[in-house]
Amino acid sequence: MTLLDVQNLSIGYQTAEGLLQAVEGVSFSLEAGQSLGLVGESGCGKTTIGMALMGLLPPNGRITGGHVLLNGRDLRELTEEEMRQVRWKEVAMIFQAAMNALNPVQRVGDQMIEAIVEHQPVSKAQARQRVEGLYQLVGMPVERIDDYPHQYSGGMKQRAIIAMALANKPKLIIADEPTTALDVIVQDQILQETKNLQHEFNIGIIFISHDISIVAEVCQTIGVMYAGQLVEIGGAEQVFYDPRHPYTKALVASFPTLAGERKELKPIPGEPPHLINAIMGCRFCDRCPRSEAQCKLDRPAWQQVAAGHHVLCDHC
Amino acid sequence: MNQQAAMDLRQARRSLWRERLAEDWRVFRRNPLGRIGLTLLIMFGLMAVCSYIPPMINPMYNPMTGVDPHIMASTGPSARHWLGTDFMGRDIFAQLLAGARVAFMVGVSAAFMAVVLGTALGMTAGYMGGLTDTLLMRAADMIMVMPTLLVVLMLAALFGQLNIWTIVLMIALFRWPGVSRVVRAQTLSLKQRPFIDAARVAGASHPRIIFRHIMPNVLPLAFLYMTFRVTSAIVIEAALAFLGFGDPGTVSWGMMLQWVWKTGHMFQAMYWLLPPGLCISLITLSFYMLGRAMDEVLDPRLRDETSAG
Amino acid sequence: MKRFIIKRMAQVVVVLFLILTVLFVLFRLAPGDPVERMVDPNLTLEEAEHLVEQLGLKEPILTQYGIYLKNFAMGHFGHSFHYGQPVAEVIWEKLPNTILLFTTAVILAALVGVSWGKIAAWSKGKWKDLAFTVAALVTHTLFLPWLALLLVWFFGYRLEWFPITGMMSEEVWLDPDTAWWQKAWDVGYHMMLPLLTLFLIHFGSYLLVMRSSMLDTLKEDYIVTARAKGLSEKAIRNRHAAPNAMLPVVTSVGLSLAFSINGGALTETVFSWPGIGRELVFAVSHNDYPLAQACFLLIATVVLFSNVVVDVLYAYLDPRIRY
Repeated sequence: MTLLDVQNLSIGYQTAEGLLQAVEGVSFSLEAGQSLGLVGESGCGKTTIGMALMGLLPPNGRITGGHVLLNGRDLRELTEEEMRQVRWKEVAMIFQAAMNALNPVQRVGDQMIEAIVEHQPVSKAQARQRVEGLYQLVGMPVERIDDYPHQYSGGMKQRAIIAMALANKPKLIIADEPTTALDVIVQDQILQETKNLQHEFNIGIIFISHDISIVAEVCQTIGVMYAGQLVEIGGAEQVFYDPRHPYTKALVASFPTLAGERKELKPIPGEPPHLINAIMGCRFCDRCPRSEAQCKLDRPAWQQVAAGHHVLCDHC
Repeated sequence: MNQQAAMDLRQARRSLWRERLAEDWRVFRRNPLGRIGLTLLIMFGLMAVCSYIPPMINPMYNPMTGVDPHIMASTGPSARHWLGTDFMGRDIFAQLLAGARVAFMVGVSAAFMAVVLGTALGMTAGYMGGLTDTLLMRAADMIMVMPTLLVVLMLAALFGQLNIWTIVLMIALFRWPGVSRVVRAQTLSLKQRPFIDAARVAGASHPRIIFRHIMPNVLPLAFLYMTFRVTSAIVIEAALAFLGFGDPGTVSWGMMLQWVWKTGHMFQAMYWLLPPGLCISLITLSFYMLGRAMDEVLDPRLRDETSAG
Repeated sequence: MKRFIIKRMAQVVVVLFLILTVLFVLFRLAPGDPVERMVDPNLTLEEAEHLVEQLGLKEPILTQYGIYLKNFAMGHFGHSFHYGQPVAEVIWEKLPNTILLFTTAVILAALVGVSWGKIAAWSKGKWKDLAFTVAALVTHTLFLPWLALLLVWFFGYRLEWFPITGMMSEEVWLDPDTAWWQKAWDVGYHMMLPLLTLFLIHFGSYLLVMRSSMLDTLKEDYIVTARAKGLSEKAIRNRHAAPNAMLPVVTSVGLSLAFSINGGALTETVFSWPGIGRELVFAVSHNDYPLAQACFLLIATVVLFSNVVVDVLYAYLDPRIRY
């Protein structure tokens, strides 16, 4: 059953210079219990999509087109109050722990209890019991419930945030760079645990990262984003081992793989285009090694290169 | 470094400064607080300059000694005395103008001294570190929590009548810690920069590093703090004068308020009560607004907040 | 925490000792005969001699210093010229009045300033924010004695709503039948205008600090987390934003305490409120040095200890601080 169906989503930010089209015409869907990774460099719109799914765009941002269907219900048609009830109960979020995602002056346990009590008809004591269960689930000592965030290490904070996201057994979790600031060993542990928990509870995950190798490890499907557009989408194996879009190729080449053969890492030359101006043709053509004169003029169309593997490029 | 390169560097630095100043001025002008503050200040500046005119027109307009021969008591506004006269027939408008002069004199000189002292001590503390730093900062903490007005009052109790320059000096002596804290923090972060190390390796002496390399970088910040010091100096002087401990040889706004209050005219003579208090409050407000606006100019983080909103 | 408090107290004692020393040195440097300045000419010969002995004024200078420190520790401040009684009695009688007026005003101003600052930041850019900010800016920069005189003129003289001087009406307090609540009411009635003055001067600075601190806090990531958790706006504001935004406000209360004390002395003077600040002003203008000295030292002590209280409060509010 389709859990999330994003159709033709466009998001803009009102800025002093005009409307900045941060996301344009993005479509993807996610089955229950499956995971989808969104990769791209910073500013490509992946985090904006995550925030839009939560209904948490900043005041100057708004969805300018398309639909977001969660279990068949269009989130754009919900009132603010209805959306508030969807948050964390149906869609939760895993933030980057290096960010100040936990309130520094509140006990970590209380911050979780708060999330439960807000959405479930349970008493504080019952919620606390559930939090204790969550601590065990993510492998944290229960007696640390009453600590403050600054008393936790980076890895513990990340676990706490994961536990918090599971508090209401949501159907969908958006994980935004969940392991970026952690050292490699902890990163690996946390990714493994996330995977296990996902299977255990049948949760759909949207995994946002700039690191395609991590995403390939965790997700069944990968969507590659560039300058506000999805440029390639397909199965993790397909996209990672057989990238078609020149940008995806460059992205794969720019990261070291743990298992892969030794090869030279290549940074991608150039800058992504400024999204204030309307762009007619392919957005990557200025940085593309294979671009032709026509690329700049024609709007690229989706090509199917294999079953379930699509590319937004006319020459692939 | 050869002569030519040094010259070029200096020139480049100067043009960079000029650009920075022009940019800052643009940001400043966009800020409504800064515009209002500056306008008010210019007005007070004009008042101070004009304070020399009335006594030249007629000696009876001398704010301190000029008495209208036909008036023995306080009278309301008239063509002869625009704001009326005080209890012995002196012209209130002339006093008000003289008060602006005193306010600027007290405010700017006390603030300037406080900033010079605070910058010197702050740089020393930050640069030397160790025991010097600890001692200076402890002293700063101690002085910072003392109520300056009451301290100056106590000194008046010990040494009797204080003249205006003693008062200015006292205010400066007690208002430097705020500046020195900020300057110290800035010095500490500058000390970590490579160009200080480079200077040290090149054999520059401590004073040379402090004055040539650190001072130019902390001065803008120090002078931002000066605008806040000006206010507190003016207010403290006014409060002292109001309590009757001002310099009897000067006419300040605080002194005028004391006269209204002590001669029991505050219920009958609004024309006398309103102007000096309004002036003190407005000059405080204008320096405050100026400081806030400059804060925004110097701190880009604040700038973003206002433009994105 | 206990160790921190003890350490801070020790610092306070050191600072007090320094202040006492400076005051001692300045007093010897000041023009005039120390005996004449400390001993009221109206005392009888024996009384005067006893006082000179108690204060050690005829001893060698170092012994004098020792006696002076000891006297301060014991609470012997000498004899007031004006009141004709020991200074200690005078100031212990006035201290509660100052504390009553001052703490009520500061607490009220902090409560109102903080809650309005919270609202102003929350509705940033709307009319409510503008109104609060302008009101805060204006009252915050008003010259306190002038504001006091205006309030006296308006509420005391034009409307005749409140008394304009003193702390109590004689007829109420001299009447043996007056109940305690009538006395309390009388004091509260007299306190209205001085309280209003101090309140108006103070709430603005708390409001402005809270507003800007709140705006900073609202940009923090944990506010996004709170939103994502589906909390109501009110819960986000009161449970997540405000407790964090409070921290700079507490610091600023500590830093502005000195200014508040200046303001307290001015207010007491204008309204003839029988407190320590007014006593200091009065003593200085009437050359009553023993009284002035005692008032000053008492105020300095209170200021120093209040700063310790502020530090402890900060540590209590911010779990990241552990001393």
